[in-house]
Amino acid sequence: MEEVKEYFHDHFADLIEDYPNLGLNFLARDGHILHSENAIPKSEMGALYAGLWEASQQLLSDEETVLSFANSQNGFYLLALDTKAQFLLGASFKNEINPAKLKFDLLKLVRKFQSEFDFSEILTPHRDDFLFDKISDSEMDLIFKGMDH
Amino acid sequence: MSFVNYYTKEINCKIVYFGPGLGGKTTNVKYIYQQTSDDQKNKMVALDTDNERTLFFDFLPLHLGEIRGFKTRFHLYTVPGQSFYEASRKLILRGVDGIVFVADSQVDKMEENLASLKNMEEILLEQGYDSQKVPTVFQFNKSDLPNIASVQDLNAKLNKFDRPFFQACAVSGQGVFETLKMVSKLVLLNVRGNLG
Repeated sequence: MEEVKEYFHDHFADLIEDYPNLGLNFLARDGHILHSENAIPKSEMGALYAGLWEASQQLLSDEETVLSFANSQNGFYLLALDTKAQFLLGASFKNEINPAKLKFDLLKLVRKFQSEFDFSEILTPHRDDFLFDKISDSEMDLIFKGMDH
Repeated sequence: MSFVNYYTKEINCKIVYFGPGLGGKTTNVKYIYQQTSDDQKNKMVALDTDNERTLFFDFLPLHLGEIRGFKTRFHLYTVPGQSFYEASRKLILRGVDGIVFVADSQVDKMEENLASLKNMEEILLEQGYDSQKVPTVFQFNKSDLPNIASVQDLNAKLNKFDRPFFQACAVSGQGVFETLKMVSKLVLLNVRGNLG
């Protein structure tokens, strides 16, 4: 997974440099944020992006869909990173002078990413066995320690 | 599906609260939010209508304690219970790791409970899940109200696979954490180490 993050970072580094107010979230389709660039990884962002994506797919079934919501300077884009849209890129920006150019540059990089990146690295489970065979009550108590109940 | 990150030693899981409309799913999650310290949670997201009926989903990310060196992250979702939000329920169940079925214990709500349970099973089947294998806990909510069905009756009609169950009164918090703790345990026992 660390190699994936590194690849992602290198691939989009120049774009971030050109658009310092751009934040990128690399997420799985169920909303888990896998990596963030120039953005604080907030899980609620992942949930909202994933929900928006799923809803838009129900409204318009099209594998090439790019979800965009923006005014003239603030907004976000949501794009599929792989052909089956199992991974998404959420890009948000603020105070951007030319959002159309940003969108164009981002799309170019995403297309390149799609063609170059080997998704089998993260799609293929590395381990099939269960992580825990038994969990004691005291271990569960530790997980929930500090919760007022 | 759950993510295990061995590098950061983190387990991420998705738990969905499912059940009929006005059964208390959002109340459960709100109670958990209120009783959880700031360092254990992020902002709760509620996409609801003006009269506080869930429109799309509620979302609460919890950062809980560690187990054998792994940090645990639980993402709690609720679905909208009203029948015409079928599409939303399908979206939210995608990638689910564990389910809390929040049933309304009142006798006259049994039909709604059964319809909701049937709907959940249909969605799971459609998405390729074997509903018997999805970690599930039943919560018989509103147990403080008069005219409630007996636990035996609720289990006989709803809990056909003998899943763990709890009586609850989500408004006061009774049974809320017990339910969450049980579904979390089942989910963790079901986690496969699938992301290196």
